[in-house]
Amino acid sequence: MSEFLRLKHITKRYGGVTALANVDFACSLGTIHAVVGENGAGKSSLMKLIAGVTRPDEGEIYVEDKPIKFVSPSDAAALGIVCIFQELSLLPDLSVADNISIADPPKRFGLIDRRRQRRIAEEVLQRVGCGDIHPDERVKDLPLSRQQMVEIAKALVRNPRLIIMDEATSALTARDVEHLYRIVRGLREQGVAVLYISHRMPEISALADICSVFRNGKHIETFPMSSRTTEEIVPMMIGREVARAYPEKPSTWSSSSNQPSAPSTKSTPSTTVHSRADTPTRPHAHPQMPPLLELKDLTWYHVLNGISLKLAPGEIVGLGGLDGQGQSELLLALFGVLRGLSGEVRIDGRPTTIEHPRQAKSRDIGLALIPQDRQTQGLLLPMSIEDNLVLAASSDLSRFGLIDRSREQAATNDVVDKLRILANNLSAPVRTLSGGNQQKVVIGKWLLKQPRILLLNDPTRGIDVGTKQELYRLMRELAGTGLGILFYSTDYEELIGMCDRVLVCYGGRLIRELSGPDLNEHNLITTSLNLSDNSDRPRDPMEEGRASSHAVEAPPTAPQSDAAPPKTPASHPSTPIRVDSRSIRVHSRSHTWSHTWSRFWKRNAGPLLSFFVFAVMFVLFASQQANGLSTNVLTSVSNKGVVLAFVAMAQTLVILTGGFDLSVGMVMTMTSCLSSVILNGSPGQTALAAFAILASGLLAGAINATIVVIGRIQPIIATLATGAIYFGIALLLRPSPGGEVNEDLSNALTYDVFGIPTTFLLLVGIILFVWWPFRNLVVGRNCYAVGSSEHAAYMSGLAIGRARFAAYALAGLLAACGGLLLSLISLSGEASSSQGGFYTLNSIAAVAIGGTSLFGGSGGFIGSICGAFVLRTISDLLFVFNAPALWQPLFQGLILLGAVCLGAVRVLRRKNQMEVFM
Amino acid sequence: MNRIFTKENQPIIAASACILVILAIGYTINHNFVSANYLLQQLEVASFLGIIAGGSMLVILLGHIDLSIPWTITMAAMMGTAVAHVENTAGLLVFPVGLGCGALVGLVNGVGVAWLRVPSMIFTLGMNAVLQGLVVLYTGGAAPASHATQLMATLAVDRTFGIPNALFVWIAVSAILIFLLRATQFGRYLYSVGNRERAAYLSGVPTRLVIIGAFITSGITAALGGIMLTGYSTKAYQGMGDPYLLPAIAAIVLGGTNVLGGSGRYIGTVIGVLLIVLLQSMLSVLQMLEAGRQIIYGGVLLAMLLIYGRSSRLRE
Repeated sequence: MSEFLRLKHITKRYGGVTALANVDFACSLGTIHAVVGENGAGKSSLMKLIAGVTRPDEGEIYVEDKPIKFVSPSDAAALGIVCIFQELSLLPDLSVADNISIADPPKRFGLIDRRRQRRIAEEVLQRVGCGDIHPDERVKDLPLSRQQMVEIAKALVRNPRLIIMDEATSALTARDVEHLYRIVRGLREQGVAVLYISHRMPEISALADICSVFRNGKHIETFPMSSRTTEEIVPMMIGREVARAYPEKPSTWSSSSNQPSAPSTKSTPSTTVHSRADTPTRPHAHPQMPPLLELKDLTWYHVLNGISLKLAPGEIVGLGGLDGQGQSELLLALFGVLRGLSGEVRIDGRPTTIEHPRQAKSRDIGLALIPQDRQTQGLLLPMSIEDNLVLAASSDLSRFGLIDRSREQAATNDVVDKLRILANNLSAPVRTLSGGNQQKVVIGKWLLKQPRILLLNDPTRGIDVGTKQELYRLMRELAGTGLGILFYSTDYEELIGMCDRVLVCYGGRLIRELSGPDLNEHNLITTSLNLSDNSDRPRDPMEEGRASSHAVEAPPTAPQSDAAPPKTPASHPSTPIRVDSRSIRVHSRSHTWSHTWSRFWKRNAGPLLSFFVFAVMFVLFASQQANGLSTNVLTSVSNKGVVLAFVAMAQTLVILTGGFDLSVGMVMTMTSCLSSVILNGSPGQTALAAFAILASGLLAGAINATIVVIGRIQPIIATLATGAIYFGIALLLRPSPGGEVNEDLSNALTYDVFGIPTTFLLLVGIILFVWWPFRNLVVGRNCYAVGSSEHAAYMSGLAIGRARFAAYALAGLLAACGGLLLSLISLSGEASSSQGGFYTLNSIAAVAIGGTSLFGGSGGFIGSICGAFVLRTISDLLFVFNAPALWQPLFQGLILLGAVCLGAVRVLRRKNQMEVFM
Repeated sequence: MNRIFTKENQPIIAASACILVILAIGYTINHNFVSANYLLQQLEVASFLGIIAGGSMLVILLGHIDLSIPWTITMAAMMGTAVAHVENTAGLLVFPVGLGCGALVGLVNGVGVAWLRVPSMIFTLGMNAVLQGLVVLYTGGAAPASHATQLMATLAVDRTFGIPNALFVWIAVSAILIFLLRATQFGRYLYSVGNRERAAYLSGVPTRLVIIGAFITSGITAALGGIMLTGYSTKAYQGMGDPYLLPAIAAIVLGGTNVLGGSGRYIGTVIGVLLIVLLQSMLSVLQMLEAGRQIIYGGVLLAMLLIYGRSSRLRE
């Protein structure tokens, strides 16, 4: 076993929090090396360093005895270090095969070899036991567990020397895990180093050769797995160097079952930092009073499976368990964020339906939620501390919607004092505060609202010890005043120290209540791991449900009625449907066909629909012509739409990468003016001129690209500015309408080949010789990747800037083609700003009608061309049907508006409102 | 000092400095450039753009954009003048009808963006096309009355104590908008939704209503702009709103409002409007051709964006 990686004296801090303190660590080839520790022990920070995602503040990394400095994940990948992250790094809009080969696709003549790529994907999916996943499926259509297997497959094809699996199994089904075991063992045989991070002790004892324990950012010990038992390892993870102090719990309390229990053994006098002077019984707890909050059988799409609980005033009830067992969803459900809940919620004994947070916070309900991620869900980072503090209670502090500054100031000063928020200046952005103080602002925001029930979603994550103590004290104090607190934490110790009782979640159920002396670390961990459950897996419905909340558009797996009689594996009584529906997909031909069709439809619905609409319009149009479907008709339709089609194609490229190009119409205008000036003379001169025209478009595109990519200016506004410049140049070239173009060339546009007009052939040529190769170039595929998820593209080590640059530059070129054609069709040039604006705006419309996502990541030229023709044919169609010309613009607008609203149906179906609000 | 040079104020200071530079250049070319009369004239011209930009700033603060402004302007002007000459109303219907049209357009935009979640760029674009269609339909058959009333002319052209009335209207609109942004819950909600709609939603902010409110405001100011422009040019005509969309956006952005939403001060938009109007005016004083004006206009916009409009690098 040769050593592959060594870390020396590594320290990593995030803000004020030290995630890793002076860590020495090494791992060797041909071993499975488990890294264990509690939440926040520093495991994930360590892995991010090794994978090149972050850089250490101090210390060195050596790979095979050579010192290494990683700048990005691709550097680490180059050395054979590949990481499977907990948060996936997949590109949702790309196919499974694309994702698997994203870093180094197989190539043929410089193009991505799709067939080989598909074969590679099939092979590796077979290897990980997921032969049922079709390589052409879009990742976002897969359930979460399948996505995780794709992520694993993606790592395997890179032939890693060191593979890091960071909680890689959190969403997998039992069957998948068995495959994974086999894969991991196979990797060891091949001499690969495996770093395996998991909360699940059974997995670790089954797999690992060597185990390292981390605690509080420190490397505690590394030892051969055979030398210790699980029972010996668990205490090492828990340890307790710095005894944290928790405020004393009230000496009596009534749990939901109204059984008084003895005081917690944990709160010994030495750890008590705060003893309340008031009576030990809680003020509002009265057996006859209805509980503040009562849930009966709360259920949400298999993520919450019949949750019942009671919360009395003055009580702190913990939610325990592994990450992602439905705890966050439970809190969100209570707060009115989730749609489609069943079961009953009672507040003060009254059945209540909470539809949105605004209702949840209202006085008669009185809920407050401290969300999971304070940076994106709790705070408005650039806004002032003051503004953040008053946001939730704004309507209480104002009168008739008017802000009462002095009242707000008094209130905020109060809460700032009470929570001891350390800030020099309350008008400073909340971003400038430390993590702990930021969290205090989130809490303060809700205290101002004077809630009666506090929902805490892991509020101490990433907070320093001192602030934690203050928060603990505050929680107890608030409970003392009669608040009920539902407290989810990933820190077991804190749950034990703080809670009157803890409900352990597993697979969306509450599997056990721990209180009194039972509430101890050992019980909590063993219950959380559900060690009594042989499979140690979340139940499958849970996993299915999570998938549906992530990939809302996911098709239902093969309906139950289609399934063969379920063969129920004895060990997993709860999984039959899933297992069978999958085997059906593999074995049944007829289903494969329908899946192929549904895959094709999902990917191409936009282009197909827009083509269908155009076809209908065209047939209607042609049927009204005197000569029927003659070449003339074709030519006139084709020539009318071709310019917009080119501009729309240009726009498509930019939109695919997640941007907008508001200068395409102006580039088109500029080049058409240029050609009205120079596109003339002998054939040689004309050819040269055409070349110059296209080059000028390319240059304009490159300028846009430079400003957006290197200047880092928002595309919308950057192209707005460059558009003005290009229009100015157009005016310079052609101060008044006129000019002329080479007649032979413009006549060519009226020719046809076997009845097919030249402009149509030109479009076909572009599809075949520009679009198709571009799509299959790495840079083209990366355009999709960037638009789909810039973050995932970065994590996959893609050249983001290059892809963007290519998109903008090529867009300039295509717009120039449009300009050239316009001048040939109109036989002159005109620098008209309304014409430029018309083409820019209609290009976006054509793209939208053609089914390209305006958020980037999916779509293509064909749809945009159809969209352009739809837009351009409407007026002709209305004309031949004798519709008053006056109606035409209105129809155009309504069709456009209707087309974009179709996409809205999707949004209205969202089950989790958090996904609606960006 | 540090309180003045905050990140939020930097663009405003830079834009103000730019204005001074333009005035200085203008002065060297023609001393009349800095005369009171000429400047008042510029302020009058700026009023129209300022009114239109003021409302659409609220939409940009949300991180959205309102591309339906051009034809909202035109439609409000058309509808306003259409009812202006109804007997026994003394032309007073202009404002309720015109502004009501603007508010209605804003309402539809707001519903499309807030509820249907259609990207605002495309929804308002479609709305613009629909409005254009409606106006064409309305004006096409017959030639409806489109002449400005006396009241409109008074507001847009006349002066009081030597100061253009249009400027008073702009000031009044500005006062209302500043009040909305700074003194009402709506204003605070607006910034919070623009910063991060998700966090605002979880704080119980009625985010959808806020979005609708912003679009309605934008529609109303565009409509008011249309009515004022009609008064200024004595007639409502098709396409009268077209030259106002892009300068309005440019003015807002030059004034330091983030195109992605969440930050920006109203005073910045005022400065941005003045900057654009003075820039255009200086270029015409220089007797520069339209071509040169466009190029310099775009160049200045780009230069200022490169100075302070850059987004941060991809995070770790």
